[in-house]
Amino acid sequence: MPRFPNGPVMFVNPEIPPDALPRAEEVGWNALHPRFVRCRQAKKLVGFAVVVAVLGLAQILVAYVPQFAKAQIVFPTAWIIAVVRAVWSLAWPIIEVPRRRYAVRDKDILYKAGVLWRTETVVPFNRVQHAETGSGPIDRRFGLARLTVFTAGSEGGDLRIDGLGVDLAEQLRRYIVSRLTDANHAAQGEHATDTGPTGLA
Amino acid sequence: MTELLAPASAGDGAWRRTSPIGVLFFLGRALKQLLSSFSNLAALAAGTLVLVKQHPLLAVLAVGVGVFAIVAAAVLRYWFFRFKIDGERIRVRQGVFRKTELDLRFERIQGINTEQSLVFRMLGLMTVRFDTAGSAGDEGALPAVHPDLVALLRQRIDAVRHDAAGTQPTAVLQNSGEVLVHLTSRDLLRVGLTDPSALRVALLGAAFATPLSQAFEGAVTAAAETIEASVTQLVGLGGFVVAVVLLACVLGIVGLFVVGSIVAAFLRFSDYELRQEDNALRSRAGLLTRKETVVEVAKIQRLRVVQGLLMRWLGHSQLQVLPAGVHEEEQTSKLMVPFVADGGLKDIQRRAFAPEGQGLGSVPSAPGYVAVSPYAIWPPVLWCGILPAGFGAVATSILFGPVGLSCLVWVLPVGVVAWQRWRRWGYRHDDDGIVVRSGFLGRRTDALLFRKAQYVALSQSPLQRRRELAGLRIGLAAGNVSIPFIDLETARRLRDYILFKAESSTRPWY
Repeated sequence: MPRFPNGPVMFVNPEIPPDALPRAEEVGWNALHPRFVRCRQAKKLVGFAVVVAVLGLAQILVAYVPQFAKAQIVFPTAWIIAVVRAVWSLAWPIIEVPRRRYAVRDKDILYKAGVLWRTETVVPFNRVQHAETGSGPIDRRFGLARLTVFTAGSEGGDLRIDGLGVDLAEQLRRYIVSRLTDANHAAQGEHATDTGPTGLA
Repeated sequence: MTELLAPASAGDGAWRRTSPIGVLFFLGRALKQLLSSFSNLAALAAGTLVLVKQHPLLAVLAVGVGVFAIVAAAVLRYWFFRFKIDGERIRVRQGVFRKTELDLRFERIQGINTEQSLVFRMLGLMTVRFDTAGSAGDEGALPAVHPDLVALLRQRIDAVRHDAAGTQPTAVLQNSGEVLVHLTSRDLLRVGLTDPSALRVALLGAAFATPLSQAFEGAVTAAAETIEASVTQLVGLGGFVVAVVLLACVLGIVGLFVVGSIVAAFLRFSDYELRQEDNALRSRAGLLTRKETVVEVAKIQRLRVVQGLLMRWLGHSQLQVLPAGVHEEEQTSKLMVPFVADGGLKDIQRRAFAPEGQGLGSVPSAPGYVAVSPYAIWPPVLWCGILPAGFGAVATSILFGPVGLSCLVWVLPVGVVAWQRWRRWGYRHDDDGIVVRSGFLGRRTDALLFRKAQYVALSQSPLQRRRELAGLRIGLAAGNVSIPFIDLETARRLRDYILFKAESSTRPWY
């Protein structure tokens, strides 16, 4: 492990010594909903079906129009690429989804993701502007929803957790919003209800 | 909502129009919109040119109709622009066909910035821009209003704020408060001279001049022959003269840029003054258009110091004060101190973070920054150096033989750049905040208070995981600040401490 020339200056905090601070890496991480892997695979399969349809149509077109006969050589390669991609996108969620974890603590929400490049993001509840849940048609078939937590932070300031159970996502959202209203000062509440320009036309 | 949707009663007298001079503001905005896009401009020029060639009379008519349309649009926009100020909010209605209403509560306003163009100054009027941390944008502007109204607005906003804080409002006076920075003409000259754009052009010129003098010698001689006989004679003397001529051209262009940036510095920062008033920093400057920017101290999210190579020789830096919702790329509502010495910088920073972060100096050249791990050199060398050079070498060796291996030389400059950037990386912190330094030739520092963090993210690449290192990103309401390649334990402790500060803080972050 590399040593720094000056050594990091550690905090002097009389009330809570640094070692006594709650440590984010020691929380119990929760896995996403077990159906989420299948949901991701299903989404990829839908995408693959579109690719198959387009490629198939193109091949039929090429087969029946003599002017395009030379284009026939492209198809074997295209099919191989499409199939390899499909296999990969079916395999990838099995590797990647278990790496996605979330945790909720008294004062913040944590989320980590990534297989090779890993990121852990923490958003304190008293910095949350609002929270929402949402789900697409495929998510709904699997009974899943995503939770998005918005902060005032720019670029990547919004924490998005896909693949939660519908009930859990809603519970989490309610919990976060309740934390917002009671933990946050009045000014924050005003800020959240105030809207910007309003169209009248 | 019902209040918003209620029709404006014309009789209550509270809805007001701005001064008729406001037409000029809308005219300016319309012209800006028209000229801002290159395609518009090109289409306009091409259309006019074709018309002038084909039917001169029609061209005059078209230009006349165009001008009339723009003026009429400005007048209409002015006519439909109305505003109303009461005890706790300002409402602005505008739009000819698509009507919008902006309802801005005073406690949401970060600051009131004013702008006076030359015409407005002669007439004693101002344009007010509200800084709202949101996306009110151009709509949050009141053109051509009287300074008394601005004073009234400031008073009301201040009263609301003090109500919320439970303190007594202090009378806000123009030109009150302590002057922190005042720039003389000599300073402005130095601001113009140290403008990095001039240096960039000079470097670019130098980089291009060498290959240019060889590669384009033929082209230059050919071009010169057609211009004048005397020039051809000169060129006939040889490559040396061509080189001299080219050098003169480059120097001329650089000189033009230097003069341009000096003029720009004078236009923008003439008579610059930074004051601290009660609880806000106020800057005022401008030769023709005078701009006044106010940032309330409590709303400052980030202090960014930029020190270019030339600035460093002069022992000065540029400071940007960023309130919530403003990014470093934005020019409009951030408060700029274009030229400040290290001592002044420390003073402003102490005031901006008071009473916290008093031990945090953000002077870029100060000692005591903790270096990041030298492994930070690896990723750019690998991704921008070794991989492209390797591919290039393999590809060119297949095509041209062993000569292709010379591609590998590319790794060297990339390595030097990565090493130099690593040298610039550093951070220092105290109990309340952190300063992160970065840069390549020049230096930049970003200072922030921990409790203003919006989120904290810790990330690890495969290399970082193997070496027990991590990168830390602190999200703010005014951009992100990242520290790459610090050791994992430090990163985790910093993160936990930042979270502790943000979560235990009872003071509002904006």
